[in-house]
Amino acid sequence: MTSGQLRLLLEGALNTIYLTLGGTGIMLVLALVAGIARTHGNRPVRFLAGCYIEVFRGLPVLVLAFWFVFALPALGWQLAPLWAGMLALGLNMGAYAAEVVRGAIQAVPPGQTEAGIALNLSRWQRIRYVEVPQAYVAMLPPLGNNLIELLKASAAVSIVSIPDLTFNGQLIRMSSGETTLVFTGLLFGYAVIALVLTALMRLLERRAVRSLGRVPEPGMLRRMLRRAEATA
Amino acid sequence: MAVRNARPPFHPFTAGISRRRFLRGTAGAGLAVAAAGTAVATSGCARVDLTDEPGGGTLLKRLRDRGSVRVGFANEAPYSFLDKNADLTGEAAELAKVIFERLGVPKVDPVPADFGALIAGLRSGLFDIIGAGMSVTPKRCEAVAFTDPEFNASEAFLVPRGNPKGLKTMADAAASGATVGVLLGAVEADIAEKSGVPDGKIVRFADQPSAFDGVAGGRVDAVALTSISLRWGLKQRSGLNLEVTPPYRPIVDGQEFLAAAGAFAVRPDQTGFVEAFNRELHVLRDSGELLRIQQPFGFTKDDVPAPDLTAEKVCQG
Repeated sequence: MTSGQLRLLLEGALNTIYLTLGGTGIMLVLALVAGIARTHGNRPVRFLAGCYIEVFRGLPVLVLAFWFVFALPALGWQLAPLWAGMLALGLNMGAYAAEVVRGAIQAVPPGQTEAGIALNLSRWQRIRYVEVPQAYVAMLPPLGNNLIELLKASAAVSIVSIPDLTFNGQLIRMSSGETTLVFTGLLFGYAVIALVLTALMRLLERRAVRSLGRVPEPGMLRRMLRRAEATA
Repeated sequence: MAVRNARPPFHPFTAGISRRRFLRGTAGAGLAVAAAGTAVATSGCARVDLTDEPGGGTLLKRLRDRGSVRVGFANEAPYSFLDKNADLTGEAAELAKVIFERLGVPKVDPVPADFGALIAGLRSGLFDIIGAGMSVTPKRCEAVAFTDPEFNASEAFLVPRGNPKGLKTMADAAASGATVGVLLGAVEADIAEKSGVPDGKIVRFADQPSAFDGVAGGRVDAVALTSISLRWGLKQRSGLNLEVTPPYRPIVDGQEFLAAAGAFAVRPDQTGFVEAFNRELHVLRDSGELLRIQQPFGFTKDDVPAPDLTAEKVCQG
């Protein structure tokens, strides 16, 4: 593997990370808005959120990305492929994640909402101070799942000329013929990114658990520290 | 407002972080992620005008003003591909560098794309020109404007060294009863059929490597393909005890059969650019420099297009 090829792979990894982070940002915003709207008392609001979820959950992210890159320009707007990829990923995974948010909010015991009403909290206050803080803990693990799913889906949208890890890997494979090396490298690349994301989500989960006043299981770092203390 | 003063019950394990502060922090983090994503991409959203320009278009002027041209390619050797150093090279790429230099556009920016997405990418403005050695076909002519062909691929056979069956043209193959390998969906199947090779003697391979293995393993007597692809493929697998027969031009129904005439392509309204490009291409072709540029990639004088082979002619099929 030459330095030029390595540079190409690193650029690809960077673009994959951009895609994942940007897609996650859009996903979180959409998921929160649509998820909360799904539990709203107002029927049209629930319906609109339902429309978004059903439509974008059913659209393949690949088709979405294609549309943004190749069909949207006909309407007079052009998105850079990277941006189109983020949007497609965010819209698609946001629909999945909205259901996670809805489920987590609905899993908060009704007594909590009733207590909020008894305290004369407005609906918005109940959401902000009572429901979401408790639902947050429950929605984190499945959201972490969605995050990893989004990372992997980013490999599919590379077909719209996004030079991500997979796309650049294919370029190198075709010019060097080193299929085994390149695809093994891709496996490790995605695994490393996924592991880092998982670790971050674990950290968030532990903080969230603590915010509810529970004690999380000691993590790897703390266990190692303890072991070091014990042996010292 | 009772809520304003409401604090979470003190708990030894929350380490004094209020839930509200914690939530604000995580919401902030989420927003930061979104903002970072947007910042990366703000440069990438722009209004484009893809309506047809009248009077032959302004592409050349725009490229000259910008000083660079975005060339879409499909990473296919030997036409346009990334070499071992991940730099753009290949017959079409090297030709593009020379012609655009002469047109007053010093910089060539490669934009890799899937072959199937090349025409869509050109039409949606992802790049300015397709430089992938794309074959001119009547169907594609409806979607893009082709320049005159930069090559007109001659046909050849890949045979065991020494050419035991003495194959030179497809008619020889039909006469000698040889088994001919072709690629799935390639024009060579047509040529073989129309030259009188019986269907039972035509073996279809999914891709080039397996076709090469087919000859090497004796499954077929020869593989019919453009001489460019055969020479390039054999160069990559020089360990095989095979050779490429001298190039020939297939005659089907008394007419020369165009296997693959490759050209550059721009959006259909840019006829002014096509004229300027063709002028430079013709100069290179007539001076012999075209062949000098293409030779390192396995092209021969048999692949140089005849002066009367224009895009218009090929488009008519």
